Amino acid sequence: MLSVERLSKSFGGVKAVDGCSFSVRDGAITALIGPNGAGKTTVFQCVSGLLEPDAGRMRLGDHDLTPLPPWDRARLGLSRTFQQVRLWSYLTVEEHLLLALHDRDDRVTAVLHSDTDAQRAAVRAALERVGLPRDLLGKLGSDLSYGQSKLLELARSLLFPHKMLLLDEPVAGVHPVLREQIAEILRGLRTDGETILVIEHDMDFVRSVADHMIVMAEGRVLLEGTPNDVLRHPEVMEAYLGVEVNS
Amino acid sequence: MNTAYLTHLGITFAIQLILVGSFSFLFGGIGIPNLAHVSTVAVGAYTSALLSLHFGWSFPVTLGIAVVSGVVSGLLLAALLRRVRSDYLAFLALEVQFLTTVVLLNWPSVTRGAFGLPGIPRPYGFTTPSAYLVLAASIAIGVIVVYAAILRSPYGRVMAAVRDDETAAVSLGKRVPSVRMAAFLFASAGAAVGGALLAHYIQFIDPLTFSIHLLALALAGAIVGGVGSVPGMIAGTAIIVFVPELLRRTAAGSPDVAGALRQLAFALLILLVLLFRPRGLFGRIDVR
Repeated sequence: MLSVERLSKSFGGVKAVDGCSFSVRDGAITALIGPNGAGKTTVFQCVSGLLEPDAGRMRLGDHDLTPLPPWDRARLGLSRTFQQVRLWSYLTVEEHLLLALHDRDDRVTAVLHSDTDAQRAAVRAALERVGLPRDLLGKLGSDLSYGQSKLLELARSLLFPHKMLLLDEPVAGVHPVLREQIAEILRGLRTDGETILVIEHDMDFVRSVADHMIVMAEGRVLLEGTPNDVLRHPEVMEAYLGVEVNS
Repeated sequence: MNTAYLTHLGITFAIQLILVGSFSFLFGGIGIPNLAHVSTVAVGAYTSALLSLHFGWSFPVTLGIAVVSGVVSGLLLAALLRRVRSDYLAFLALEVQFLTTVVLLNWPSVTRGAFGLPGIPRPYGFTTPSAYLVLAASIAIGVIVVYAAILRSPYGRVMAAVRDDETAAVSLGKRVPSVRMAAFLFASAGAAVGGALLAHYIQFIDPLTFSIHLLALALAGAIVGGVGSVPGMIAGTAIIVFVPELLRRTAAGSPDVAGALRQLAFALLILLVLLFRPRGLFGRIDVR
């Protein structure tokens, strides 16, 4: 589904991503893990078009994403969440989700459009899917709790027409109960055939949802494999703990 | 109060409503406080005035061309501001505003410089103040209805998303640059209409007609009323038009005192709103 080839990105003299290459399989959950500063979020930013890489190519299916602006990449089927939750402070929960549903609302002709009952029903269904109550529909984005914000951002990304989800630390800072709720949602999405690439530091969460793992360190892919193989690998332990481990 | 005075107040309110409304639309709708707003007002005013003075064209034609020229100047400004980081945006816009005044003053072959353009004709059929009130009020209502429709539509929602967090908007496939340009287009059209109406009402314009003072009025009206809100546009305009009239009456007939009181009152009003009610009277968003 997604392939990244020799991606590189530097900030000043610091190589955040250094010739990184990997592929994400269809219909599976792939976890992208690595210590802080490994380049994981930079990879996400480059793939989604929010950062321009110094080198490399990115493909989504048959489409070369590399020359495309970020909005066109999203329209090709990339839907994402962010490491720091990005909601609109002065829009309601309902408006957040309607924005994900409307396809041509960024054209001036959308001045003449209105929301349909079917769209409102889809919004309510999206809330239910992530376990948010309907009475939140009228609340502003800025008035939600952290956990509710995480779920709303997830619901928004699910509602947006997509071929693949990029989830950046979906359970960072959340209560264990909510963490399990989100894990359950992801497992349900996999059953539905969704393709997901998720960045996470929570290894218990990753172990419970991921089919495949890609480990990054110092801007490069260190190794790939199943969670069991990867998490016991001495190089992974060395990358995380910074000590040499005798295998 | 006599009828002529009330008619004048009504016309002033209608014109200011368009100027405040177009400023508030861009500020509240997309989050850009366009400090070069009055330069677009000036483009509209001078275009309509020059075409009617030199060619004798009718008001509907000169107004249409004024709108086009205002939109072009607004889009050029938008293209310029795109290249600037948000914290420098206000400075650049203000510089454009000052530059516009310099051009108007120093292009006498077209604008007559400091001598201004006298004798700008009233539109045919609307030469009396009461008829002009009908014209100005109708156009003002039309402009505000259009802004209200845009802000309440799915398109207005995209504008708000761009305003609050354009990265999140981009992640949903929204073409942020074109949304921003279109917002400038709508705001500039309104500003140019207001400029043309102003020119044909007062029948004399010079570069100082489009000074920082006119910008301060639009800014005060938008902030006090509440940016991006149609009730806010109306309430804010009422305050900037009627409060000076009340102050004039309390200044015991002294124009100097009245002028000073007005400036003090506006400055205090904006300060109080920003400190204690940053959303303004009817606004939805916090301007701080």
